[in-house]
Amino acid sequence: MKFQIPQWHDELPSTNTTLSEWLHEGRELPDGFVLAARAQTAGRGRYERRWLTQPGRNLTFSMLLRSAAPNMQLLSLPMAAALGVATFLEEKDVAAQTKWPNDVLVNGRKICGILAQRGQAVVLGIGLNVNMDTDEAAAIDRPATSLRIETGNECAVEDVLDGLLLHLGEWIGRWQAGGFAVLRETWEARCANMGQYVEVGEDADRCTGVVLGFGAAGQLLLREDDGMQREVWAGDVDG
Amino acid sequence: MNEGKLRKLIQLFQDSDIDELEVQHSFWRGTRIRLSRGHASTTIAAPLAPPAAVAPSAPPATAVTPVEKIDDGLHEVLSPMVGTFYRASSPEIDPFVREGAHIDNGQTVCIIEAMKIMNEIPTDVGGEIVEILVDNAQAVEYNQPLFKIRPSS
Repeated sequence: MKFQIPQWHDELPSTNTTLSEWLHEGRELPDGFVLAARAQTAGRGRYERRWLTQPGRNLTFSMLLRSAAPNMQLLSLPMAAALGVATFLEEKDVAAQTKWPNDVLVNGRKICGILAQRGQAVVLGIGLNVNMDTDEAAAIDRPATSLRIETGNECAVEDVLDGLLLHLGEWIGRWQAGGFAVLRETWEARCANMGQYVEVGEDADRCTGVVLGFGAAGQLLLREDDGMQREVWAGDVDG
Repeated sequence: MNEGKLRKLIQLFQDSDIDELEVQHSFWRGTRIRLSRGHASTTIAAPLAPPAAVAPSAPPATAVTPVEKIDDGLHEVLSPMVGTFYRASSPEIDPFVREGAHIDNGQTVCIIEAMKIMNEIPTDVGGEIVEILVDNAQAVEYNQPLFKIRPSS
């Protein structure tokens, strides 16, 4: 898949929110449109988690995918994006692992978050920590890292996005052609959760077990403590 | 359930004097059968097989928009996928709809999150939201009723 030349803004509330609002307003935006912000004032992760962005520190952008995918196939889109981020980091000599369904970790620390929304089209938002320093990382409530922390080098976020889009285009293109089946081998080789004992979900929906692998749509397969196999379609993995 | 058992079930239903039969096999196994003569309903839920050592799941999503059905003049909006139900797109803003609200055909009524994809769920009927059947942030099953709507006349 080939993405458009990114449309950069110095500041937006959230690239995902803004792009979704533009779609609701009826703006005619092409497939592969990319909206990027040097600073976000109201960035967000899954549902309630905020994604902090100071000007030029980290990369935040959203992509528009208009091509319709069956619901089952669509579920693994964030996994394709996570693989694109992981191979981009590898190009920078940073070894990255994935965490189901869509996080990217370096040495167990989160470097990237991905959030997809589907309404009239699919909006895929990515936040990648680029120039965040160790003090800023320490202020986040979960272990976090950045390209700068891992490589010692600061980078222009615009350059990072240009390089990252090539990897995202490659992996999303493969995913469009064959869904999770074409991601499986690479995903399983890179996934930090494989074979681990994990906890998934919250409160009454919480379940625990050993990660056996992934189903046809990319859903998590757990062997629970009672020996039963369970498929998990939502929630965060801890462990 | 194989075809032979399904045929037998239909035959039993036809030979009985019940108006409606609904079999909701477990969430993770995905069987759901509903037979109705279109009158007042009697629902029977029964497992069809002993638990299997490996439990295949119902597909989380087989329709782009929710399936809706008529029950006592009300439409039930059913979840098109397995996931987590949210009444708003974020905690700081108002829910998409409240009970008593009038909605338009095609209006988004909730979000179902599955594998970090926030799916906006629209209705294909306009009318009044009579009841919201699921709590915010609750896990929902494929085809689970989410809303009851009284269609506009």
